[in-house]
Amino acid sequence: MTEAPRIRIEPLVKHHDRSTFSCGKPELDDYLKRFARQNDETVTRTWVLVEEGSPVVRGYYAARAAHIICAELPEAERRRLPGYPVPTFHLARMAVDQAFKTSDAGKGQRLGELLLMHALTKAADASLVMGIFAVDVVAIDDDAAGFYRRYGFAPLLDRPRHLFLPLKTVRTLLRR
Amino acid sequence: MTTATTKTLRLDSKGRVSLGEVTRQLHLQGLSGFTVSFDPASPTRLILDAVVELPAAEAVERESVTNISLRDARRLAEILDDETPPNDNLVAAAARFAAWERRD
Repeated sequence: MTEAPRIRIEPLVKHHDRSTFSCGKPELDDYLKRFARQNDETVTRTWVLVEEGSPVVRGYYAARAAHIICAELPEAERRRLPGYPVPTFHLARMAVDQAFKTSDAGKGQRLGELLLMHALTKAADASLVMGIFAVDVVAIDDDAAGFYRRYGFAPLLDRPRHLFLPLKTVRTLLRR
Repeated sequence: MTTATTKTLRLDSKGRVSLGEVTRQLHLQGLSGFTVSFDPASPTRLILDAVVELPAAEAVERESVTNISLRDARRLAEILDDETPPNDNLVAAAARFAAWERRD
């Protein structure tokens, strides 16, 4: 039996094939195909999940710097922070190709979790050279919000789909 | 087991240690829980009683950090005193991710 190709996560570059990507959310597909490359480095940094030896993108996330208004944070977090907006590592978009997720190569691989953990390691690395209060994300729907909540992300006040995970929790987790 | 240790911390040009440097050092040491107090003998001296994750769970390491500003010390005490631990799903995900990173 042939072993399935290994999965890699790497920065998006020109040779990656994004043409067949379909995650079931047209706006996430559209972003990858139309904007991810042109925004790269200046607005967002996109990381793609591929099978070793293949340029076909099977999943991706895009990250950029952002901020959270302190008044929108729960009281327990707010009382230790300054009154002005605090910097975040913003997980702008994250998606996995639906067909690959259910394929023999992708099934059971927890691809979304893999992308999320990869993003958290990048956030922890970035926090060694710049101030970052949290990783934050605006979930595209309630299912996506549930995904992030399972890993400890908490909602901003009155914004149940805008969630954050304090960077200190990430650093504790990763020992960085 | 209680031991007294001295750690090397990078000081800035004014001879102070930054909050980020103290936090970095603590994380590098794998410390998982802390209590922080001021040294009653000096308002600019911070004492960290840090519980180290070791097989001998009772192991306690005490570290004294000098030259930290009072403002930073208070802020550090607040931050360390109120740390949100990762939830079980996140811890399990981190273990799976570490295994994935080591697969080669």
